[in-house]
Amino acid sequence: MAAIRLASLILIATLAAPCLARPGIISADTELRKRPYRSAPVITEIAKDTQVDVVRRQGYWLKIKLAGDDQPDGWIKLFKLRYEATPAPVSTTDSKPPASGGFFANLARGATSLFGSSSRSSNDSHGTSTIGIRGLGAEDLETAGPNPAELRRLMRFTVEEEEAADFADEASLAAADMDYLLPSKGAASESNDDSDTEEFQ
Amino acid sequence: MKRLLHIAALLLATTLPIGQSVAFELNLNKLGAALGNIKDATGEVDEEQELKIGGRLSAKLLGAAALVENRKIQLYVNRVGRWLASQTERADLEWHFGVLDVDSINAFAAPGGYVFITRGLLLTMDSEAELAGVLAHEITHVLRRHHLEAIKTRAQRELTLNIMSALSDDDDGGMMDTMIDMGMDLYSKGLDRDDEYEADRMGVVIAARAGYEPFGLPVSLLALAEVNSEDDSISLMSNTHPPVSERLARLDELMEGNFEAFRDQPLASERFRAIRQLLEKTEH
Repeated sequence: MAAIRLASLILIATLAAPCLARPGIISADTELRKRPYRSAPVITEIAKDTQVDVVRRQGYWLKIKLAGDDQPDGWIKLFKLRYEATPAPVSTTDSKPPASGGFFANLARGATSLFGSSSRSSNDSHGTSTIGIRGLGAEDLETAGPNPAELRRLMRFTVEEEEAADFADEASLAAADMDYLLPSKGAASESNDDSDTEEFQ
Repeated sequence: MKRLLHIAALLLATTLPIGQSVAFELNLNKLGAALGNIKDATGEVDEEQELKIGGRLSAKLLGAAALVENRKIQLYVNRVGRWLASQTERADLEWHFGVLDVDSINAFAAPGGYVFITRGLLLTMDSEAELAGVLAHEITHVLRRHHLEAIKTRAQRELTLNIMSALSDDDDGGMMDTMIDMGMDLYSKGLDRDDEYEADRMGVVIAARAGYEPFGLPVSLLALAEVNSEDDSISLMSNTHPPVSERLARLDELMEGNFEAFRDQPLASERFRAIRQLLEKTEH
């Protein structure tokens, strides 16, 4: 029964894919801004748990519309959208591989997915191969013996630096300068003191 | 290390009859060599030992999960990965990337320039920028020698506790085997959380340097946040990493305002999707 319910949920999500906007939930109080910049004017404050429609992503920002007619649209930060886990499949043996990208992730991915390029939503088709799910768990790692032949095979795919640079060029990827960033203030407790472990318990 | 040897020597001197001292001197030399190996392997200098450990560890990982049988897919991931690695302080390493033929969602790194991503994780993605974000996270584990350092720490502790058994080891190979076992153990138990946060932090910068739209890593994590962490397909990854929500929260703080200049960089979705389709068609 639960499986059928899950299946129908997936079906609904798939059918809904070509829609322009999809509902989402705000994860923390935030401001709705006129443009995707921190300095852009604030249209209104949005409270946590507010329902919104997400239109597209641009870098760090999501364009959203508040639910209901005559409601304004504007931009919020990517990380202010709530993401939720889907229920675990009832059976693990005959479940299909995890769906490629869930609901909120597709929202966050921006226009290309949203507007139903649907290579993603249609790729539920690969879920038809429900046989032969292959896992890799802690036990597999514990009992593994070395496979030197497979290591030699890996070596055959090694790519030289120049070849990789040409490949980057083909997709207009240009190297840019940027220094590594220090931990942000909020995450300052990077030391190994015991208080650090507690927050994750 | 020196001090350890002194203690060992003292222990022996006080407990052994004189007649046996020669034999133990030999063993002591052997122990010294073994300890020296570890030291060299994990120091800044000896890359040779690092490569040896990385190769042995990778061979064992490949014993648990073979590579996807498709040259195009493997070359694609190597090209993306090599391009990323070229933007780092260890660009001169010989980097190897592999797609493991398992449905579980995970990625691994081994010392010396080995990076693996599973079929299952690749299939959750929708752009090369996402792949780049995840590979750059793994590349950082190699850059910062996270596994090597963890192995070193554990090996030293183990040696201190089991110094007598270490002395009676038949050959130095036993020491290497122990270190490989420790490395495999790290794959099932996980690195220090701070190592994971550091890999996220440096990974997004490496992706930006390589010219990608830099939000690939958080977007990929958002997708993982939707898979129940107790689902078999992701439980190993969940158990060995900090919670996705915490990783995203930290990336949020880190990335705000710092990546605006890069946001119009390419996602390279088209060629990624072609590879993903190929992977979907490639049988186990």
